[in-house]
Amino acid sequence: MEMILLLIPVSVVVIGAAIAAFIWAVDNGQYEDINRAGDSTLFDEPVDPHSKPHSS
Amino acid sequence: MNAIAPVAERNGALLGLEDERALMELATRPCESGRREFELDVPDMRCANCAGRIETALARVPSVDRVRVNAVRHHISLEFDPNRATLSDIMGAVSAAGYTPVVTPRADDDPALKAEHRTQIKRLGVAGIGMMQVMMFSIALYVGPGTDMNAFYESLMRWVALAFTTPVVLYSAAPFFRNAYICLSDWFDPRGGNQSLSMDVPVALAIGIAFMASVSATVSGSGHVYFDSVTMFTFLLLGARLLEQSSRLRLARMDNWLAMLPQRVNVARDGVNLDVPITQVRAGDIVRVAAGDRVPVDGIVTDGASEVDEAALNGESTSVSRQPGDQLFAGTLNVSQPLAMVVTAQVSDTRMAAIARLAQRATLDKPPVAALADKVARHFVTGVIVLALATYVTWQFIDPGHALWATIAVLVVSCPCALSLAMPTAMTASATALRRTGFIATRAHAIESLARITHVVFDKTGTLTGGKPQLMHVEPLAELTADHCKRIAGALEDRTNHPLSDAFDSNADGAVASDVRIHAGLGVAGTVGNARYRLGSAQFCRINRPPRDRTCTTIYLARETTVGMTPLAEFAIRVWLRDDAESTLRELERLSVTAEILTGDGATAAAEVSTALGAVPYSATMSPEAKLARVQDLVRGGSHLMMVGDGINDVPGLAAASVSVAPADGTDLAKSRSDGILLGRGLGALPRAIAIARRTRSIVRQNMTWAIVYNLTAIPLAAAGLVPPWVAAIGMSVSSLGVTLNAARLSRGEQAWR
Repeated sequence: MEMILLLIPVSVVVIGAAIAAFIWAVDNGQYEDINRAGDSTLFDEPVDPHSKPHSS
Repeated sequence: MNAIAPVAERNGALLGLEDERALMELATRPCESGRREFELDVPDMRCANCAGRIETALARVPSVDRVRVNAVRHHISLEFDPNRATLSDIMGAVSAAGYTPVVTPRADDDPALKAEHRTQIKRLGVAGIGMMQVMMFSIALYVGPGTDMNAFYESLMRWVALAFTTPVVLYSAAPFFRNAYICLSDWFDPRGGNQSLSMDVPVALAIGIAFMASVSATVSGSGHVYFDSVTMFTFLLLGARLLEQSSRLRLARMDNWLAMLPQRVNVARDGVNLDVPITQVRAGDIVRVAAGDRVPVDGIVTDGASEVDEAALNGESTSVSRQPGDQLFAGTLNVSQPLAMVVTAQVSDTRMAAIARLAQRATLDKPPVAALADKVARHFVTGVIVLALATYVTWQFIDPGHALWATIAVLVVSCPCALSLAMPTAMTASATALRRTGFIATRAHAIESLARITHVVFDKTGTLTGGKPQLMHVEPLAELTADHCKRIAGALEDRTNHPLSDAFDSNADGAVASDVRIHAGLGVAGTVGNARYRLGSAQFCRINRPPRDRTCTTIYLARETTVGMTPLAEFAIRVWLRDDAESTLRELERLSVTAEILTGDGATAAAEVSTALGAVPYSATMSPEAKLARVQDLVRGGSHLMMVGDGINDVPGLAAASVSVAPADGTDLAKSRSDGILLGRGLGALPRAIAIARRTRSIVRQNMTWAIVYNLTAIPLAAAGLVPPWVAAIGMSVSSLGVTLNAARLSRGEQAWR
């Protein structure tokens, strides 16, 4: 039973992290369009909007 | 500049230095370190694949970052550094990838609305995570009393549950408290503001009281805790609200038809090429529609032949071919070849605008049943609060220690959401299912009335019939052979766009008619070779003989001579039933709906159609007045009647029927008088729509019955103190979840009708 004294604080920390991660995800717009991410695996070319821009 | 010029060139012209500066103000917002956020629409981005190509193209523009492409909303947002890239660069990259960038400030992309949506998701997420944790501790607490769990651990569990519930109540449930406060301050406003209580009042009361009572129980170490009920209640209500809001947003976006069209159009007006905003395109302008572009306004093809995808208008995925003389509709997609068309309607008068307006009308008026449910739900809220108070007072006399818990049980167990969700969820799901099947309800009562239909009355021409007419036989009346006559007729009809002209081969080995004149309602006259011919009705060709085949439409060919007319041939043309007319009638029969044909045509032609469709009762040679009288007779006889008609002669009947339906290619007058529009080319949507409406009705009934029975049983039990807190919470959640899921069956089950 004493184990609970350790496990409960651990769970509080884990849940806090989960909520923080969730809020971060929402703020990054991950829930704006939930269909496209699944389709993106079907592309021929890798789609990476963060790739280094080509000089023009 | 020619309109078929590459898209990139057009946008180059669109974005001069002035425009660049104006757009920078209008369409971008500043974000961190001097960068700006830019939002644009790409109406012709149709799938995830297009989205991927645009993303790749944009990644090549210097300094562009954080590109987010939303294929569903045809929308892109990105960040860029105005010192390193211009808007022209970005829009140019999109056009170079083969798409049309459009910058329109759109209401549903309002940053405030977007932030609100994000906040709601966060609230829901926090409530969900909190609920899961609290549940775990609650299970330990439920089981606890029978085991060796001592008071210290029980108290610890309660404190931890309290810790997890607090953010749910303070953050996730905040909107309920805010709305309840606004509502109550209106209620107590002496100047007499809004005199009805919203659902938020009992919700906020239940959450507030249950939470405060649980906190005091935790602190004092006695009594019940309701943390599980509080979090579950909050989570489910937030979820239901989010679903409802997103379905409303989806409907609003559907109405945003203007955003689909190109914003600037290249027109030839009086021989001059102009680049004008779409709202200034006038009837009579010549517009070229490049392959892959959307048709900006309604018009008639003057040059070119192409395949056109009309899915945006009627949901049908197969493209139709369009040739000179054919109609083009705004919003449809020109798939294969460039076309030129003469504009027939301004953008606000297009068929797409008309359909959008009609569909909007349906959302403006509330169906009577929904209005009733609203009224009941409104009084219900007041009733529950009064009951809760009465419970509290009564228990004070019986057992004061139990009073608070019984009161909370009443507030928690009563489920106004079952009542208030029952109708809108079912109606929204049903409207979506109907639209997917190709039927738009343009009036709110349509869905309810559709479900009651016992009788369908069809007009024949243009409703049951459609498609390409066929030349059944040719009877030469003079020295020319049948083939020769067909060639002459083909050459004459080639220059008209009359429905019957499709019966003749258009390119009859090079025979060309010149000096063609169309006589409306009679026929066509023209010169072929060195003689002048007429093609049309018996009267027009001055022929007086009985037609050989009365079941067909008969027209004649005659040669004009100095003394009169020489009859040359008789053509019997059959107008075909729509492909799915027979299967539609059989489906209707299966739904035990009686069908009947009312037509202005002759008895023989009507009998033929009736036999082909399986001995459907018919009345021939009906005038509009006779049609109206027949419809009124049936209605007086107790039938719930649906009238399907396309023409002006059907309008009186349409107005008298319980539900009136017009095909999308019917006359505008018929469409504006009807309660529903069939979007596709066939009639198959009719039985499907009736089936969906019936299912909607039974689901609404189930939901209402459930909500009433549940509340009538649960509330007295709770007031009597017989409902433990966790049963009350589960009862409430199951009842509102059940109602929502039951309604969701409507939109999910629509595969069954495909």
